[in-house]
Amino acid sequence: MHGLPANLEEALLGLVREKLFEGGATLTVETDLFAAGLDSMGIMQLMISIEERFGVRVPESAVTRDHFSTASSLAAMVRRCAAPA
Amino acid sequence: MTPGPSRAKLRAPLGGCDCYLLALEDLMERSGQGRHVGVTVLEVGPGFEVERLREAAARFSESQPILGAKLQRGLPGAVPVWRGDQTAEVAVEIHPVGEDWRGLAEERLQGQWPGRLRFDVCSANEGFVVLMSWSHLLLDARGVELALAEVARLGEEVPAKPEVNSHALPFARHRSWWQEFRAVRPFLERYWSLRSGRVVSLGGAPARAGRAFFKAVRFSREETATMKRRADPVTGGIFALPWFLAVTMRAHAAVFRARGQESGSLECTISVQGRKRGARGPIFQNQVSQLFFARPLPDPASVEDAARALHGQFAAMTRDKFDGAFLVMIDWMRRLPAPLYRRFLRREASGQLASFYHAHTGEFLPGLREFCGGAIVDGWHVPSVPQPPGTGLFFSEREGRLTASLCWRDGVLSADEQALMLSAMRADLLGTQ
Repeated sequence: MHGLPANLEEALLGLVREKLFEGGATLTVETDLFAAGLDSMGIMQLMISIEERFGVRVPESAVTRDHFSTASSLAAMVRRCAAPA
Repeated sequence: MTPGPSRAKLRAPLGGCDCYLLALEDLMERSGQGRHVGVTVLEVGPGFEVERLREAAARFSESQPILGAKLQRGLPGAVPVWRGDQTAEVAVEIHPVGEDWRGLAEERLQGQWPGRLRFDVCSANEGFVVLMSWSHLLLDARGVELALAEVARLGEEVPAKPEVNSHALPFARHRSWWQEFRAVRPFLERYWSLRSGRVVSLGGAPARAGRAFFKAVRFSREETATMKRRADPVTGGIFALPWFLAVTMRAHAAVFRARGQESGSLECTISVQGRKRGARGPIFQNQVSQLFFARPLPDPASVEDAARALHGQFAAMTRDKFDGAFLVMIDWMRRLPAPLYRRFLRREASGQLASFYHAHTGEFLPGLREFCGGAIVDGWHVPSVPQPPGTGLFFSEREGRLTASLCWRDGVLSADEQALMLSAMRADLLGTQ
């Protein structure tokens, strides 16, 4: 788990706010991103932004509705992807 | 369009996609296809009040000066602009009880009405059908829904001042030509590799006159739930784009097969939104980029295999930042004189423009329950497709019900081919034969 920020949830929320949502100030780490309007393009952009910013490879099998539903669940997924096999 | 009171002069340059659509509309008009317009169908319940819509439409036009602006092309090499200082009247026409709204929608789809936005209200069952007709030069599908949401808001309250931008976000410029060239490179590489094959469409080149037609297929909540269960193993419940594109591509391939023709290279450009999610604006101008998809070869045996292959193209283009590269390219093209732009389009994709048009615009008017006093029952979009390619299949969803709109130009699809395309679509969506 090298190079991940200590508060990964907040860092991911910052990424979501910056890249995808207008008025993102109201989002929290537990906000349902799909209810807020996350779509195919947004998920793909988010996945690639995560790879670029945190240096982790997100396998196709990890791209599920559960993992992308909140910043909190995203953080758990990113930690698993970054953990040594 | 009746001129209204004078106001501060608007000057809004057309964006890259606006200029592409302007050249496309030029081509359509020159070949007798009329303007490039769309009709959005909104079903509302019994409490709907026409007078509220009339007042809201008047407030909307007052707050959005681009509706009264005129298009100025300027000298060769100049970017066309919307200019004006007049308020346009947005027509709201009430139709007699019993008038067929489908026939009226088809009439509006021919684009022979003044102005760039209008409403028609018809009685239907126990409620109403509101048709909003719009010019694609001013609005994309998300913009249409933002406009409807704003009209709904203006039907509830009188704002002190307009709160939504009326025109495009500023285009992000790169610092030098070299940086711009580097930014556009992913587009050029994919574009030239796709253009190496011969692209085909059901309408075929060249452009020719023909009325626009549509058929809407409305699925029940049970059918829509079945479709989602069927698609989930491939889409993970989240990637609708490659799945619905695969369905559309295979529905077109079925018609080619029935004609005894080799469908060869099928290509489709998909619009992706530039607006951030949750944004209330900007309403106007085409705030989109494009992704260029090609039919996977060899031909996938199932819709699942086709969707997986298209998902791979989707991931690769997003990783290469193709959508941004396309925006840089199309921004350069804004300065092309109209005849040169038309010449470019005439040669685009072996003269076909694309093999077909397709979009899934997602949830229709999410979060909006009422429109001018009536509960929203359902809604969907019907664009007029140009010929070539002459066909398009469009999807949207409202509260768990999917609607598909098959659009075509006169002479492109026979009645049997329409039925075949819709039956191939149903078979892939529902897993039935």
